[in-house]
Amino acid sequence: MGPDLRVAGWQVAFLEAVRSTLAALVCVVGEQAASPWLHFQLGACFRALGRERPVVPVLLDVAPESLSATPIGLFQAVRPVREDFARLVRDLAQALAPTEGGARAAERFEPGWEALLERLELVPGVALRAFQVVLVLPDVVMPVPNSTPSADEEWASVVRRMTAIQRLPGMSIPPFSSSELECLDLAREEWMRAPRLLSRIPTRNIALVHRAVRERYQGNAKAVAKVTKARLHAPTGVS
Amino acid sequence: MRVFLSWSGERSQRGANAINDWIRAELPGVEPWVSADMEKGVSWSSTLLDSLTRSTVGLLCVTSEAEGDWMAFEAGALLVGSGLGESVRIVLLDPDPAALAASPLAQFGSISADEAGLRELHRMLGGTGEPSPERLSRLIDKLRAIGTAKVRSFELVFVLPEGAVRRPRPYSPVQDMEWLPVIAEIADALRRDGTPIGEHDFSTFHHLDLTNAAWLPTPRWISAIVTDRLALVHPHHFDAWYGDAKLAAEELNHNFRLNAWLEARDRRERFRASSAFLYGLYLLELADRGMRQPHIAKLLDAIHNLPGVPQSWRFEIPARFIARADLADAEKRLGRAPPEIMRLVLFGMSYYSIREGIERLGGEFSFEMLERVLDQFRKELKEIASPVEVSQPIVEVVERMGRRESASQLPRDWEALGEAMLPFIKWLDNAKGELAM
Repeated sequence: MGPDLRVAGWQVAFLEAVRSTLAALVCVVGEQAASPWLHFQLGACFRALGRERPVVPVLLDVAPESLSATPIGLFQAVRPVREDFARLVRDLAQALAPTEGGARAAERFEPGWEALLERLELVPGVALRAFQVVLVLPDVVMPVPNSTPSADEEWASVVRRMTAIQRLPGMSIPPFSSSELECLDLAREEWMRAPRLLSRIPTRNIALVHRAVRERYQGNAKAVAKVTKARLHAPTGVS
Repeated sequence: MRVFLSWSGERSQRGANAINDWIRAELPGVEPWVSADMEKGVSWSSTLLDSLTRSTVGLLCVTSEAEGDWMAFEAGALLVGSGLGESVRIVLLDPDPAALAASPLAQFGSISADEAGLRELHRMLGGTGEPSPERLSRLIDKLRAIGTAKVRSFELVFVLPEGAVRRPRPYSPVQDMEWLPVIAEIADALRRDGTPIGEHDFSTFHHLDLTNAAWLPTPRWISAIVTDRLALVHPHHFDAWYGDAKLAAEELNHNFRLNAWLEARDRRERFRASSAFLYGLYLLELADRGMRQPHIAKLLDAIHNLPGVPQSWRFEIPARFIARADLADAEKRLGRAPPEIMRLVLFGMSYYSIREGIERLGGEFSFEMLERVLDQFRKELKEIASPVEVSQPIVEVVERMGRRESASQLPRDWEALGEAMLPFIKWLDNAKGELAM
């Protein structure tokens, strides 16, 4: 773990830590990708470890392609997905413990992956920001008013609140459950894994899409996003 | 001694190149490197990383535009490569050093781009004796020629939940400055002029290039603003447009063209994000426009029972929505329905529909409720600045209605108001081209 950069004299501690390490994993959460401090640390890691030892950005909420023109794009990054981390473990094992080999490391990695993923998902984001949710049901497209969260909380509780809208008096919408809803990033027009924490929401515009709608459009995220946006401005529901 | 020259932006690059040339001429034992030296066709990233690895001295040529993520990366590498930054300096081409306080570059000492600063740099790079006065003078001239960042005039509009500024206004900066404090100053000036701008954290606003319909990164300096029409968009509006710059620009440009009447109406309809009134708008406007009145009334009832909904909305919402039924009547009387009539109807100018809406909700229609509409109407009429012969009959009826002691005579007065409104509607329809902003 690197030193806390808010503490005076961090440079000495950082230099000591980074010089004695065999690899650097630089974790990037959300908006941190634009922070000059992150790039500063990345540069310091690169120089301390040289070109032989690995420097690996771990992109928790950021798409690698969005960083290709930044210094992070110089390094082979990993996303929090099984394939990337399996490859990372294997490569690190081969580079740092060649006698053990990558195969044994891969064996050890598999049983612990889900627990690691859960821990990664529970890393709080750097800031809470406003976001907007749209419910996309078979016959209704409904923006659900939502205010800027004042404190971090589990995404599941937000979804529960969103689904409670069907119980409002006069809401003639077909019944649905939260387990039938899937997350769509309306800005990027792609499906997204549901975040665990509000502070880790990677977009400002989320659609909670009923599974039946997804199936109707054969899972095509762009098509569902475009229809949703069109319906929002001439609302008649997705049919 | 290998010296890495880091730059970010066109002016910074010109400064780095000039210093690079000066070091080569002045200090033959020193090996400066700037990315412009790269051979064409080589892998730039590999060459850059090689150079960073080999350099022990760093010069970060900073201008007021931006330090950039690449400069931060190179600075981090130089921190390690130079023994905690002892041989790294910021060359201040024009920024205020205080502006760098929160930057990682603040780790390093700085030198100014003047004679004293460059003499210090000469010593730091191992120069013995004095640098050549001619070369030093030429370098200073070159660095001065870089000048301050170029600023351009542009039109600026604030897009706020309270709708404070409704059309772009010209802004002409005289020099480069940090942008966020400038926004705060502009907002203060507008407030002093009576524009109702609330307190906002402008650092969270989005920058929309209205001309090219594109979001811009938040500029740190005015010189980084490269559009002639800029909208500062509150995050709430950004969300409402789903982050779609084209949609946002289209809607804003359309709104700017709306006439003064619509502007007055919009001011009346200000609402706050996350309010239950907004909730009502969503349900009624977006969920299903084909809803029948009984259904709407039922929904409104549910909305009104939400916690925190003021009683006054028992009046506002039906006035806004249920009045649509009167459009057909207006169309019959005028033979057609110009858009202004629709707006007037939505204005809440129907006695019967207001009464009906409120009664459907189980409320009691009161004179005070009506007075609120009339007050608002008087204000908006004044803002529209219609000709006296058009507005005077309306004002007279409205004032007469205001003198009523009981609500029993209101239906008759209201019909008189309707008659007085007809010339106004016709005037609006004829004058909308002139009123367009």
